[in-house]
Amino acid sequence: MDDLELIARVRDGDAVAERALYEGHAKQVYRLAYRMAGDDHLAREFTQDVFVMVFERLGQFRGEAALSSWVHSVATNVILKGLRRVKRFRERETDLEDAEDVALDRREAEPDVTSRVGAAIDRLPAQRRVVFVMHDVEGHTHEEIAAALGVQVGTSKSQLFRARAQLREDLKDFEPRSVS
Amino acid sequence: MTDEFDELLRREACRHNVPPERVPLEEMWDGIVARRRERAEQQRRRYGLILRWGVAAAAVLVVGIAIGRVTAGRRGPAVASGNDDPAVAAVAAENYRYAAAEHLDRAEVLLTLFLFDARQGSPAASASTEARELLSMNRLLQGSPASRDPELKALLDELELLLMEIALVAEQRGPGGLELVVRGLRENGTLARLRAASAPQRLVRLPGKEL
Repeated sequence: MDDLELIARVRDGDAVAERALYEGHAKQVYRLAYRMAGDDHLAREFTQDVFVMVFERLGQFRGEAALSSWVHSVATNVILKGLRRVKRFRERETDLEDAEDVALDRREAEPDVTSRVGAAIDRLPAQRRVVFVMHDVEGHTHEEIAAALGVQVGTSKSQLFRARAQLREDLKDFEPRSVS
Repeated sequence: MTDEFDELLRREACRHNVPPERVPLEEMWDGIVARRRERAEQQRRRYGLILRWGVAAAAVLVVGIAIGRVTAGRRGPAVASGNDDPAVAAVAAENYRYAAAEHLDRAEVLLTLFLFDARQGSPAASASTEARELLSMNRLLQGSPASRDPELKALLDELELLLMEIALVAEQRGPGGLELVVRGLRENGTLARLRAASAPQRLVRLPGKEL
């Protein structure tokens, strides 16, 4: 069954087609959500939000682009919004004293390179981070990322450039030769 | 050094937040089915509520007009006054924020999908209907006496123009005007401001929601 037929059947309320659409894209969406959130519970929440929206908005998809690109556009939108919501919620929950503790140099507590790179990635602004993760980790092209985020290809490239520059700056004291 | 460092970054980034091998497809599917059912139910309830309130408001209006006409001849001109009860004003403000949050969320989704469609050449015809629906809500919010936030007001004013343009462009389904709307959207950073505005609004309306 190709995308257009699948979409037509979903629009007709075919439950089997709905499940097929979900199975065709859920793993990729969950992976991206997990990469961004670093938490299974949140990744599940975001993935569920994405597919609720996909089924609600499928009537707006005209089949001129790949269905996967469209699903990714919904996914990045939902994930970025979800992360902003969580960030604000956590900022509210954390009082100033706790915040100071959290803000202590995590490098001392996490000396291994993977943790340090991970912490540096987590500090990237959300949109820059999603471009970095989609391109350098999940292997999407700039064209796919631009379509998913609703930006131009040049914007995706510049966001990746800035993300790498920020990571380089954040990890500048790091000695590559010390990595085993 | 740069290439070497970028390579190191890529390698280490792949080890960060590694998703589990087993994706919980079944559990998530159950959640999706439950959420869709719940949303459908909520929508039914909301429409029922709107209908009931609409009927009630219309009835109050009719009674009010009738009383006004009956008493108009007996009294001098009345002076209009706002509601001074702070509790009522607080409820109105909370309801306004709730409605604004819903509205900004929907507008954000429409603009994101509109930009996505624009990249493919032309917007979906359904975007016109949705833009018109949002336009009606936008105007209600703009005219509401509970509207006190100047930033939100400016955003709603801008959104009004944008929604009118989208409604027209999506209806015609041609390239004419599309580029202009997209360029305006990007240059003004409307989507980014909409996202920034909708997040705190959302927090206000979700005090008990588990994040």
